[in-house]
Amino acid sequence: MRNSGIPAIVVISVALSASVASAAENSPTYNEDIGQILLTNCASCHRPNQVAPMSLLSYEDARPWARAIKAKVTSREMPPWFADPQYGRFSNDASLSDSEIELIVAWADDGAPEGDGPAPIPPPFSESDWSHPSGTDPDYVYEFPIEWHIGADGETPNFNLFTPLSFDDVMKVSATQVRPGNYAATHHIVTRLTNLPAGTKLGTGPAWAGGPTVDYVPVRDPDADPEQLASAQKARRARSAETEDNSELAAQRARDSVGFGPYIPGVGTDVAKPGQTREIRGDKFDYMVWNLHYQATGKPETARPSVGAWLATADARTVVRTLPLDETTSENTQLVAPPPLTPEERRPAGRSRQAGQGLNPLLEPIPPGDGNWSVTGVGAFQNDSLLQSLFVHAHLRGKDFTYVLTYPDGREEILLRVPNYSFDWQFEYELVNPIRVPAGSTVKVIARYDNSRSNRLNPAPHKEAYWSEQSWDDMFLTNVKYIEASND
Amino acid sequence: MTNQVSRMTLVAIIGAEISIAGMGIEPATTQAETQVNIVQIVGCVEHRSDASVWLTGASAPQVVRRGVFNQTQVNTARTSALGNSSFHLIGEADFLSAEGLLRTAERSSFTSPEQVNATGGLRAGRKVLVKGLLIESDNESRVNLLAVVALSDMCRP
Repeated sequence: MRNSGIPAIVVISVALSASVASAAENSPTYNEDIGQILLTNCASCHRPNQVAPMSLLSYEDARPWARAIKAKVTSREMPPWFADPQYGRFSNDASLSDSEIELIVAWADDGAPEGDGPAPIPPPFSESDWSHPSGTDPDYVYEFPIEWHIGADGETPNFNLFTPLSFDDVMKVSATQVRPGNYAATHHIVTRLTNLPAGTKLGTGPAWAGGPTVDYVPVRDPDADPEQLASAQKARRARSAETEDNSELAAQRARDSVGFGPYIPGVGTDVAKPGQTREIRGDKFDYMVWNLHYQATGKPETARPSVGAWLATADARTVVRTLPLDETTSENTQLVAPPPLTPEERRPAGRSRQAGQGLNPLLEPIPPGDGNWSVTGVGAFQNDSLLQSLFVHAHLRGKDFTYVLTYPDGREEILLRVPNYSFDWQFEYELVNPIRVPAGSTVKVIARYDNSRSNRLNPAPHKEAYWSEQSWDDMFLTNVKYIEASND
Repeated sequence: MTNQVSRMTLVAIIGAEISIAGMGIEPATTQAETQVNIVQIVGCVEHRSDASVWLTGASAPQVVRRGVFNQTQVNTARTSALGNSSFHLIGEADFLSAEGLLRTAERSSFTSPEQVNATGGLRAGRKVLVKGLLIESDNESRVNLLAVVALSDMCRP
């Protein structure tokens, strides 16, 4: 063997130096590689006055968090996304590709260099913190009239306050958003349109039984004309009886009462596709009810929510509709409603439903310790349609859910599978390509709940879980958005 | 309807295409006429050798509204007469036995035996009340199922 005359250590040293220099030269940089990834996938939440704890709009923002960003993206904890990639493609999927994660890891490991080129430009964002992807502010804004004060500790039940609706016809919108006014202290807000019971008016009273006295609650109207009141009550009872006997009418009324939507973690602006619109039915309702639920943060907080709407353009004619999944099976049982109520039974039952909120009245409580409690909702497409998005809302016992479509020829297709539901991130899963659904198809959502101790988020595994809007109870709420195919 | 306004802000509308009048004068959009009816039918469950499930000796389909059956409707169906129609039942997985559901399409990919939600309503030989979408094709009538209620274990046309 011939000796080259070059000591081995020198060869290794030279090789290593070359390798390090090459690595440094080839390191991903913020300006060239990382910035755009963060701006595209993270900045909608990671910017000032949004739900995320720090901003990631610039190199200066991101640099101190490089190691934390690496840890969060390699564990796929961030950006949050819960759909099984095997089924469906969704336009709001912010999850990173393997190659994007590799770039971030290399960037963080190489000291998070800024790079030489120009910095990537953040997308436009509303200066007043609305989150429409265009960066524009809403055309219509309604701010809740009073500021709500939240104590440093303790529990607050969710409660309803009411405000007059400021328009009296159909508002056609292309987007809506509910802005909480305080992300840390807001558990959820749901807005709906409503009418006050006859003989009541907005006034001052307890926000909930035993709660603080506030404005904007319905109170008895001492000036109500007894004759008009009797007539209004009669008409209301007739409407109530009609919807009691006609679940389709009740479902239509529920759809009409959808207001500006909810604020729940993970939900930002609800944007219709180009040419499409949603209707806010000021022609049917006089008031907006704000279902508010706040949580203590350890310090006193205030919150003043607002709603915003971006008006539809004149050529937006296609109305986005929601499909009720009102047939239900649960725990191997077909759910059947009790016999319809007699007129005499309706009034006390109505009062009792209001008191108990009456959610999912046919569902039994989830037994303590049950790790696989199941419910399946079924809905019918009676017309050719284009299915656009899918959503399920549950609370802390929500475990997993799967949407399945059955075509009129009997084929079954999985549309969406969320194997690990998270109460903290409730996404409306928006299909990249709306699915053409022939008339005669059904859609099912198969949901499971975990009321056992193995669910570390379960607030009370030793207790039955009832159906209510309180987060220590649970919910089964679906939203399937579609348009009629004749409109596409 | 009320015109009360409390701290409402109607901010400037930019762009000629957006009309403020659009907030007020547009009528609500109506839904298209229904292409496929929801029906309820009473009949006997038959499992065929090709693994298909049929409703035989069935009553004429009755067009109904959306929404869950109530107990009064179920009680009425118990005594209602059968007929001589046949319907191929589809979307049946959730109304079969647990084993039947797990054999259907991709159900076993996301459902283990201890997680099954299958009513077993479509046991062979039973008299049942079904609700579903009625699909008429050239060679058969199909019902895409929404609900199945067992009326009795024996079905005598």
